[in-house]
Formats: sequence, C-alpha cells, structure tokens
Amino acid sequence: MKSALVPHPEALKPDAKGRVREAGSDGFVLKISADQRSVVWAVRFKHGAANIFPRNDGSVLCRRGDNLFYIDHNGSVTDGPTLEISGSNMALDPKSVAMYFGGSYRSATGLEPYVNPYLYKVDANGKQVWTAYGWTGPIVGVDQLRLVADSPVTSIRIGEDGKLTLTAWSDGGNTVLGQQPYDLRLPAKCGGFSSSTSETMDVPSFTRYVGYLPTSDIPTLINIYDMYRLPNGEVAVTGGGWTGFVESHDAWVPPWYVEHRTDEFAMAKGGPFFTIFTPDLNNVRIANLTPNASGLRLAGRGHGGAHDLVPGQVDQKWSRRFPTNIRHAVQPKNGGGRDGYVVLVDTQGTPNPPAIPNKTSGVADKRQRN
Amino acid sequence: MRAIPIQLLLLLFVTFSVSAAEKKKAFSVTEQEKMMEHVSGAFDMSRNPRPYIVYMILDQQGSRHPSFWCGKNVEGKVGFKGQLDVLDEKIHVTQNGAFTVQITNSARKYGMFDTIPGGVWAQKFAALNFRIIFETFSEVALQGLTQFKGDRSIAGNLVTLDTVCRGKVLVGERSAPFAGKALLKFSDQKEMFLLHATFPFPGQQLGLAGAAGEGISATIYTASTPAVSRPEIR
Repeated sequence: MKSALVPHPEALKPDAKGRVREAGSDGFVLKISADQRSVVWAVRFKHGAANIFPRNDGSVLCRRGDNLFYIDHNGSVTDGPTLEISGSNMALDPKSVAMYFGGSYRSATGLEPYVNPYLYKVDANGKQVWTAYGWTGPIVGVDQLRLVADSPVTSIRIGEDGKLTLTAWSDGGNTVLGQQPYDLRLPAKCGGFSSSTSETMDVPSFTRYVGYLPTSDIPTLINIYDMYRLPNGEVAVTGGGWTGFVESHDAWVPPWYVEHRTDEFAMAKGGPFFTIFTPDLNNVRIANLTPNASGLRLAGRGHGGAHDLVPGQVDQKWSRRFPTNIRHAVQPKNGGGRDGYVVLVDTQGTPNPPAIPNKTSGVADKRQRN
Repeated sequence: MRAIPIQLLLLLFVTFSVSAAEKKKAFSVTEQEKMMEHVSGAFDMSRNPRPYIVYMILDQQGSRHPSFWCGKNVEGKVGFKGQLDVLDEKIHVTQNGAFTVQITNSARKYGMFDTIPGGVWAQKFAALNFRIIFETFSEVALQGLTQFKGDRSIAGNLVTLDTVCRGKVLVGERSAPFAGKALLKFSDQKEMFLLHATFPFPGQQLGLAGAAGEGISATIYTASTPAVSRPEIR
C-alpha cells in the first residue's frame, strides 16, 4: 500500500496574540480496491480532514481550508492553488473544474434577516468568478422588499448537465431565495428551499418543501439533510420532519391520510424521510418516511456521487412506533444504540405524486376562523 | 297640448345639469383642500423612520446585473406647500430646502465588482461618503388620491405628486449634477412622504471610467419621518 503525508505547518503557527492553536486530529483519504478487500493507497492530512471530490481524469481534488490538493490515481499528492474565497459547503463540477461554495453569513445590524445566503463560483485557479445572492441583510430587509426570513444555503450538488441544485432552509416564506440571485426584483420561477441554479445564475425552478397538518390547516417543518441529483435530472433528498409529512401513494409506510379514512384518531406522521423530486422540482416521484434511519446520506451508484459520508443514526423516537421497512435486511431489527444502514434504492418507475390531503371535515378553514 | 311636455322636459334637464355641476365643484374643492393639507409640511430629513430607509438600485443598459445599495437620510429640511389657484382651480405645490441621503451599504458581490454598476466603489465603500443631494422638485403635477398598496411603512391613502427632481451625487472628491423624475407620495394619515426617484446616473463624471460609467440609471427610494410643522392651509 502506498501512503503519503500532507503536512499542515500553518496549524501550529502562533496567532497574532502569540497563542498556538490547538491542532486537530489528522484526516485521511483512502482508495479501496474494486473488490473492496484492500487499501490501494492512503493519504494522511495532518491536523485536519479534507473534503474530497472525484475528477473526470481519475484524480481526486481535496480541499483543506483554503488550500487545494490533487491526488492522482497512484496516490501521489501535488499542491493546488490557494482559494481566493471559500465557504462552508463546496461542490466541484467535474467537467468545467469550477468550484462552488455555498453558505451563509450573519448580519451584524441587529435587524432581520440575520442569516444571509451566498453562493460563490471559483475557477480552477482559485479565483472567484461570481457571487450569487450575497446581498447584505439591510438591503433585502428594506421596506420595498422585506425579504427578512433567515435563509442559508446548506448544500450544493452538480448534475451531469452542469446545473447546480441547492438546498437551503428558511424560517419564513419571505425569503430572498425566492428571488433571482442576481436581481432582487425578479422572482424565481417557482422558488424555495430547493432550487436549481444554472451557470447564468438563473433559477429555472424551485420548490418549497414543507409538511402539512390538515387537522389544523398549517404547514409543518421539514429539514433536508442531504440531496443528490440523479443522472436523469431528478433530485433525491433525505431529511426529517416533525409531523405532517405528506407521503406518496405507494409510500413504504402507510400514509396517514389513508389510515385516517378508517380511523379518525390516526395521527399524522413525521420522522426521517426519503423523497425523489421530478427534474423541474414541481412534483415528487415518491415520498416516504424511513423509520429507524435518520441522518441518511445519499450517493449515486456508479455516477461519482461520492462525498463525505457520515454514519446514519437510529431515529430513537420513531423506531418505537414503526418497524424498519428495509426489505431483506441483513440485520432486521434495531440493534440498539446507533446502527448504520446502507440502502440501495431502485429509482426506476413511473412518477407517483402525493395526494395532498384535504382539510379534515369539521375543522373550519383558518381564514374563515379569523 | 303638445308643446307643454317638451318645455317640461327641457326644464328638468337644465335643472339637473346645473345641480350636478354645483355638486361636482363643491366636492372637488373640499377634496383639493384635503390634498393641499396632505402635501404641505416641513420635514426634517436628518431623521429616519427606520434604519436603512434609503434603497438604491443602479441599472446599466445591456447588463443583467444591477447593483443594490441601501443607506439613510442624513441632513436637510425640506418643505412643501400646496396652494389652490383660484383661476384654474388646481393645486400648485411649491418646495423649498434640500436634503441629503447617504448610501451606507452595498452587496457583497465578490468577483463581480467589475460587472455591476458602481461595483468599484463597493470595495472601498466606507471612505467614499457616497451621498445624493435632492435640491429641487419642480414641474409638480398632482396625480390625485390613490389607495395605499404595498409599502407597509406608510398607511392610508396617498397623494402623489409627479415632479422633476434635480440635485447632485457626491462620491469621494467628485460630484455631478443629475435631473430626473420623482414621485412624492404623501400619506393622508401619517403626515409623512415617500420618495421614488429615477434619473440617469452621472457615472463617468463621478469617475467610472469608460463603459463602466455609461448608460447607468439610478432608482432611489426613501421616506420621511412625520412633518415637524404644517402650514395653515384653510
């Protein structure tokens, strides 16, 4: 096995006050053989882990802080350029070799919005090409716009067509993510917590993903933890919702609105979920709860979808109510503590949109109640 | 026998016409007096109804990337007074005093400072003291009373004046005059006004070299606090 070491002397340099920052633990990148039985090469990053991104030429791009490194197919490491700007979430377009960084910064004005999104494009030399969003809080909060909902970009994925897909959250409907990222006056075509931004910064489609409680006629919270663009443009997401998750007809767990037909006391469901959106983000192919398996991360099979994987966590609350729905599981029951899952999902089939449940009879429309 | 009904009809018609005209005239005067009151007042523009009340957009011809800015009212007192001209029964509004707004914030468009209008200023913004002085509002035309829509900083109905605004833009050591259109919208409840001005932005005179300074138009919004005094109208 070939191994290499990437030093990080900056981690041990004293800061302006003469203090030496505590160096973090080392990170590593491994290449596993195709039969998954041996390690071909290993690269150790001193004092900190690196993000890894496969490139079309077979090499791997690694980012540690603002520094880039390339690892070729033999495990040899070469230094790359230093990034002019970076951010918390990174994506690499394997075709154009452009890098994208998304995240948020906090406005220091004391006025809403506090959390402001940004999306940077950086070229292969580390030079910044453009900024999408990046409005300061005071600007989007002016009387003429009032886009005061906190709104960070939480992840970026790049499809094989070169288009970006973003996920973000917002604590209200009046989010700046509903506008085009280059012109605050232009609304995005559909707009929302998951959007698709092309090279031109246009947002051709976007959707708001929320749960819905028909018994009280209110939307409910959903968190998106991971997202992956399938080769056909469809977008898979995993996440969690408190309650009122709207499932599709053929959901793996019987949908609440089906149970409610025969049991008026049936409770709306929540918990971890897995959903596939159509390419225009206007509908879903399938939307399921995934009891027992929260924190799922997504990776494409044979499509270079690798990114930092973290072990999933057992969903403690919902595992008590629903058994796992994984078929032919090697371990059929929750083993206790934290279990890891590897789930292969067949994404073929016809679209199967969800039926948004009607308001429960006997409960007046919220607008009428007021 | 046949002539009498015709005379009666004519009489009725004339009577109705006269009363309608009298009614319209009386109503119009009352309405105009109200509008005169609404558009009259002295406003201290060193005060701000809320932080970041000034909102500016610079658009450049042929570019899809405008620049967005915000700021505050900083100084000046401006007064407006509406007077009814007895000859044409129209309201004429006179204005005196100038006021200044300052641009204090720009967007963090890293990598695009050469693309967006005025982007070079955004990089060294604090030292520039970017100000716009509104000196005169002339050729005032009263658009009438319209129902308030949208902007929540002002309530009730709005009396809108269509004006030509003139003033200066100051960026660093440079200054340049501007002239454009301005809508002044006075609230009939809060004794304050909204300004919506659009004018060709004198970019080249302010140091934007070459194509970067050409074809820029500015849109500026601000609002006043309630009037510090109001003239006696009636």
